[in-house]
Amino acid sequence: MITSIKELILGKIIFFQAQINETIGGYFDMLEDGNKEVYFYILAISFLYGLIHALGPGHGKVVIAGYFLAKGKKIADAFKAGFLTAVIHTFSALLVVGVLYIIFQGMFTSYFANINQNMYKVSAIFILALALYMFYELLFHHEQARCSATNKGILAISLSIGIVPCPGVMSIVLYAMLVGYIGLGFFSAILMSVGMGITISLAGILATKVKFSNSQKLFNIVGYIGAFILLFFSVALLV
Amino acid sequence: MKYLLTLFLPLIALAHPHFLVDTTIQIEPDIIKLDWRFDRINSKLLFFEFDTNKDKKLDKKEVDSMIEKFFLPLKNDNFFLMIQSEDDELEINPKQINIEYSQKKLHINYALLMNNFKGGIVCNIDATTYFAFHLHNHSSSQKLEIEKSQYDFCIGVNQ
Repeated sequence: MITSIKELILGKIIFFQAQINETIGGYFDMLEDGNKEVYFYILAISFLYGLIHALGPGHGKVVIAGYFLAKGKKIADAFKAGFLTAVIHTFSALLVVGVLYIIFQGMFTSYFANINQNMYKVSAIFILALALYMFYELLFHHEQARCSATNKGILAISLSIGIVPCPGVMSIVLYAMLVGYIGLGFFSAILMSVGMGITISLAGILATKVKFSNSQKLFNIVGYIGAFILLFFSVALLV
Repeated sequence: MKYLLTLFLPLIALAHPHFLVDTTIQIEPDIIKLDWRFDRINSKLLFFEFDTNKDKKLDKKEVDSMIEKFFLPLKNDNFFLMIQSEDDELEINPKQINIEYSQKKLHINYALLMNNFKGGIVCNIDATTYFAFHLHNHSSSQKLEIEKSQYDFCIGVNQ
């Protein structure tokens, strides 16, 4: 049953992503033909792309949810973490595209895959460190563990998942650059980041909503579940 | 609520599709022909990358380069194919490989030479879903049973 739900969700996401890919490609063609009106359509589609693309796996929603399951009390913190993750995710993609475009002038597809895979490993190490720190707090510093997310914690969690550049963003931005619209590529990336930020934040917000009890025992159980999710996720990425 | 959320969290972990490929497949006892049509964005990126002389077309040298640098390395992933004849998994060895860019889409087509393949399973699947393979079209003189999603498919072949 879980597999069929996953298939259904992933299938829908891929279907919409394929539609958006076609649409955005079509709009770029119209732009090349001199139809400047589609500039804003491209930006709108980019926002939608970010929103839907981040629904798919690999954007840190599990990690954010795991962290806020253990630490989350405020919706604002979840928003902060979601958007910070999306911003870092997008800017790391922009950096990679910029470097590949300016310095290497090619080999994008193979570089994308390699950079992505290697950055996932780096990300996994960060997430693992965060999970171990959460376990340490839960075992030895109960009061600290009970505190809600700090700015430092939010930055750590956002950085640990955001550093993996998003190939989806890289592809769209590079596409825009190739057809001569560097500025449009940049603004598309920003709007994709806003879209992704909303989606990623929702995972954190959902997790903050589940903490309805002040029971110490229940708090510990939920805290351990959150830390365990991070541990499981980091190990899965590393092996 | 919290337990429900925890239960569903692993559903959205890991995999991440970026290459969206429409597959057309023809299955016959002596040959399986495949055509992979890439999505518009990745078609353009791959085309730009391998059209090294920037004449907006892929000449033979560029096609050969793309086959060598992009397609053949997919051997590490068994070309995302799993072909089983009776109980044996067959080795994937693409022949007649060609690449073309038409109507803003990149096509990679190739053939697998078969030895009296009259019953078995053919799957086009990437376990990591970095590539999503959608069955676009199929044909065969044999009876086929198809199971497909937006990102992979398996075809049962019967005599």
